[in-house]
Amino acid sequence: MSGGKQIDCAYCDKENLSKNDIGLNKKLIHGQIKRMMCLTCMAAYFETTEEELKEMIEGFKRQDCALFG
Amino acid sequence: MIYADNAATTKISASVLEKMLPFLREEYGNASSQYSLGIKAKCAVEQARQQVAVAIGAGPSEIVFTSGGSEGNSWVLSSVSNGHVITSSIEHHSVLDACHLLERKGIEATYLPVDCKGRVSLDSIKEAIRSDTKLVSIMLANNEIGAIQPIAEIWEYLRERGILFHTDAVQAVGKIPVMVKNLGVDFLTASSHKFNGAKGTGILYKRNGVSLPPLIFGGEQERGARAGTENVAGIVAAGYAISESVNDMTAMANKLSEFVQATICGIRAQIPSIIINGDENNCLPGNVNIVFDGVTGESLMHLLDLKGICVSTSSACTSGKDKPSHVLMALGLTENQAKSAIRISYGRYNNINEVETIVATICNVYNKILAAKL
Repeated sequence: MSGGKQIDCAYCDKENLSKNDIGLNKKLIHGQIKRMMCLTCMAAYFETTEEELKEMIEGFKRQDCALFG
Repeated sequence: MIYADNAATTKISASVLEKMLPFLREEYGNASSQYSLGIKAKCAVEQARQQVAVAIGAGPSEIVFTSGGSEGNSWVLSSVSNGHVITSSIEHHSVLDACHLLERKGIEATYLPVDCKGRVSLDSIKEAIRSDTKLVSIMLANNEIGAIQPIAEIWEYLRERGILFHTDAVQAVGKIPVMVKNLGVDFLTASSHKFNGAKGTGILYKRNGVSLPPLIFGGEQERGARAGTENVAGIVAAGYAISESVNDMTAMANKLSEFVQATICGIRAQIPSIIINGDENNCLPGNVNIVFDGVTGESLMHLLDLKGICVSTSSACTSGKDKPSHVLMALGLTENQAKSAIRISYGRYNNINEVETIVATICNVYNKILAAKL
């Protein structure tokens, strides 16, 4: 959740995106993005796998990126 | 994987690796040791020195091996003990940070502006020079936009005034002809891993007769100029790598320039709004820096990474804060534009199929980002 407000996937019925999901939206699409994707939708959209996206999240966490935790 | 970030580092040449491996395995002697194992190492270092000297038109006694370009830059700048220095606003941070340190010590520094193509003007140098100017440091070619500076023209002006002249040639050596006598510089820095050598070895050219107090103490290596046990394997790699680069430089430059043209044309055909930073006609072969309106360079870079393509963005996020590139800002770009740029830098091992894949993938990813933002 970002700032206490629940953010849901704008493309499927998945609710309550995690901090990492939100961080990845901001990293890969845009920092001010309003309509966010869950990892499943994002993987499909960018023609990759959820595993790759999760690895990317871990990489950002190792770099101490404040968007992830 | 398609690697298109050769301005950051290059893949070591296979033949260069073969030449350096013995000095990591059987020939591991200290080049200062007096027995045969050490003497062999010493000979290898001196052979590399000769190779480097020939490649840049210097004498062997004018070549000092360091740990890299940053050391060489820091060394030259830190040798200024009083007065005033001049540099450009688009230098590598190893030069800029060294100048900032000089300022904290009471030495004044002037950071020259550049035009919209990233070029320093001789007029701005003439205006900046003072009676107490001790050193001018202008990079030969910029790492982010590839802009090539008029070093020889600047030297023509400086030499009559007795002002020392340094150029950071880290991006240029091995890619364009670099002859120190033609450039006229007193100091020049280069780095082996930028021309398919190994990381950890740099080259400082110091013109004979110019004084440069040591930065590192503790031994008589490099004829007393730079203490520290020599990185023999890395130095051997540097010698062979620079020779290889010089031998096919023209053909390589032509090939890389074609790749850049194909990239620009290919992307522009699908994304007409792109902006090319720097001077397309006076640029390092293989380098192109492009602004993509509406997306961030960081998004593009990460998504290209997901597709197995390595490029860079100079506006990288560190711990949640992203700063725009000082180079792009100096060109007059807005902060948004500077954050929307990526750098593609082709090298020896790229091919035209990879260029086509890069173009197609960039366009695909760009359109996906824009659509997702709606």
